[in-house]
Amino acid sequence: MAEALLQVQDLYKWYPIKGGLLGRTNGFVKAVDGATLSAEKGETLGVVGESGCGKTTLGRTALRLTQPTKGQILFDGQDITSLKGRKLKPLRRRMQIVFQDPYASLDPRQTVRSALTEPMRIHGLAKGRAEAERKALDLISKVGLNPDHLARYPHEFSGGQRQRIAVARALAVSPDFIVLDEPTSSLDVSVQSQILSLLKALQKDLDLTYMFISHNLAVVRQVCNRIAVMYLGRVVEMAETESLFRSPKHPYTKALLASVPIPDPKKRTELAVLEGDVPSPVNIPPGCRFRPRCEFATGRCAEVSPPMKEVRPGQRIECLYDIDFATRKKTEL
Amino acid sequence: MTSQASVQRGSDHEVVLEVKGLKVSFHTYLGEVKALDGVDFEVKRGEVLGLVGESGCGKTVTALAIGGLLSDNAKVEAGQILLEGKDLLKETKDELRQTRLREVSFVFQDPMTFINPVLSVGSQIAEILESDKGFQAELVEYRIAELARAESKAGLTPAEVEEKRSLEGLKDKKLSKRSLRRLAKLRTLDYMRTVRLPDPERVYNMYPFELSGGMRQRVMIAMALVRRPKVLLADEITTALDVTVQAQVLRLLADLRGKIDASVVLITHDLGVVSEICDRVVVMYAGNVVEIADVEELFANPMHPYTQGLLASIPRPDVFTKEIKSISGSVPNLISPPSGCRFHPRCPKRFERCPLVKPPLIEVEPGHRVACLLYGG
Repeated sequence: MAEALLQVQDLYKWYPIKGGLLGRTNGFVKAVDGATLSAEKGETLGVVGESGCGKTTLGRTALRLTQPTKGQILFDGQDITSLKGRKLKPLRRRMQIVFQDPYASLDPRQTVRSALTEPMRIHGLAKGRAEAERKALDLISKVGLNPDHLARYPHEFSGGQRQRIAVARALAVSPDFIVLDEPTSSLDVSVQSQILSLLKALQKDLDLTYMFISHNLAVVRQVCNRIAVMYLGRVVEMAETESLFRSPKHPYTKALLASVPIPDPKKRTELAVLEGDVPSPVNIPPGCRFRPRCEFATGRCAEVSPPMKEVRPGQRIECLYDIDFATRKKTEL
Repeated sequence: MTSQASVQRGSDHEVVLEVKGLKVSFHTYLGEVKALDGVDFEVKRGEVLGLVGESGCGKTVTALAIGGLLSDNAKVEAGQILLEGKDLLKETKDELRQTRLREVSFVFQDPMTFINPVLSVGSQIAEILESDKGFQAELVEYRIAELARAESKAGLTPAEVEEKRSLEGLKDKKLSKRSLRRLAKLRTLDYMRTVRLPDPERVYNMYPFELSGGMRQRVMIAMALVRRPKVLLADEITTALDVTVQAQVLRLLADLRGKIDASVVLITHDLGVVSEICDRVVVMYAGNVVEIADVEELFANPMHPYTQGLLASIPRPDVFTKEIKSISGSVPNLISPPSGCRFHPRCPKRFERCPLVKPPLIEVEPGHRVACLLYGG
């Protein structure tokens, strides 16, 4: 087993809901509610789930862009859960993020050159302008843009090019770990595949570890080594990509995969429909949080919150049962 | 090459809507945006037609032009939009309004923008029915038919028998406001059931903010269908939804196809959605129609290099592909679009004539049309 670069243990991030005249806390949005996962060195870990399941919050909290409510985050063996201020700075160099919307994540008044060299200057990675310039040139060609793009402003670029710039900026500090938060969701398909290929190539060259957050299961299948499926703030299933797609074990994963339309009319089948909507992360159902929508739920599911258990080597689920979906036979775990 | 399924559904059907040589440009301060550059396609009765392409290819502009909803800075330069033979582009504003009221309806991507937030959802749907005096007779007939259906199934209660008799007497008379409202509500509830809104009596009185995204989209669909339009233009209706909710809405559309008479034009960029429920597909690129074919044929035998590239570049959820293909470059700026074939700067198969000649849409095989010089023209 490869070494874990990032380990997230039982992480919670609750946002208070304030209301009323006195601004009292009336409740919490439990965005991340006890998530556990780890990313191994050199791999791409996919984090998937529907909107509001906490995948983005998990990514941001893992990078310590927000302070977790509870739990532990280990990065390269070091506990970074409660690092503050200056102590976070070396961490910022090693961990980077690429956001979904390249129209919002680039400063419109900053040239590409400045966006790439500023992080180098802050972290003291380049001695003098000449070296910074050389490094910027190197980065811009790495992401498939031209040297003359360095003098331009973000508005002069298309969405795909801007995302390349955002990637280059993340790479400017030679990080080990990058959170890719829906990096291709705002791009058209023909451009999306360009960015995916670029990310794959960069990972190989620079020995990067990715956390790839996405709601697009088709994309995740193409780029990830392992996948964590999130539902209402928890990781409900974690497995290698191929085993997850070939034989999902959690009923939610199963339903999620079955509801993705396949772009091939010959494979047209009745889409499996998961009834109902995701419950609000303010009032999470007791017991197993997927129970209200689960077709296999039993009485016990309402009482016991299922712990994470291994069903097959490398495949873990938070479910009380190991269900054979073909025969609907349940074996208690 | 046409498969059986699509023969049954598509080919023999008559054409409801025909778009011919449609050219639309937008006046902007940066210059003239030539958004549509001669769009041709037709919609057959009862079919689900997919209109696909990447952002900025003109799919939404086409839909807005059909409904007469283009913004003030848009100009229709040329073309015809024929709805059962009548040219919508020649209609006056009032006539168009009637058309939108009765024959063409819309469902948009973001329901919250189109539903009134301060009216209960049921009353908004019913209002569409109440607002039009000419619709009374149809409401009465609809209710009679509904009662007749109930009668043949399970028999009627005495109150219902009485209702049916009195309605039959009312057929040609002016309805009182009260009975009009009651009939509109009954029909609204029926349509809310059709789109599978849970507990329609309760949801009728709820406000849009109380509903989830999927339910709002169902309300929009009910609103669009309640008039029994001939054409339903559905613009990216599942894009804002999660996959599990998207599956619910797609299933609903598939189920509706037998129950409603409307042809559906489904505008989307998601080829998975297209392959799931469409009968035929129109592929657009930079304001042009580049390919039209039955859905099975298009996926099995894409002819236009753009369609080929698009199909190759979609990541598939069902298989792992080692190398992700892509189309080099990006979508052109339509203020100064490329000459000749608008795809030529990105086309791997371009040759000398491509920048010179605009390829016409020609039928290469029965029902399969392509606009590419490789196939002649």
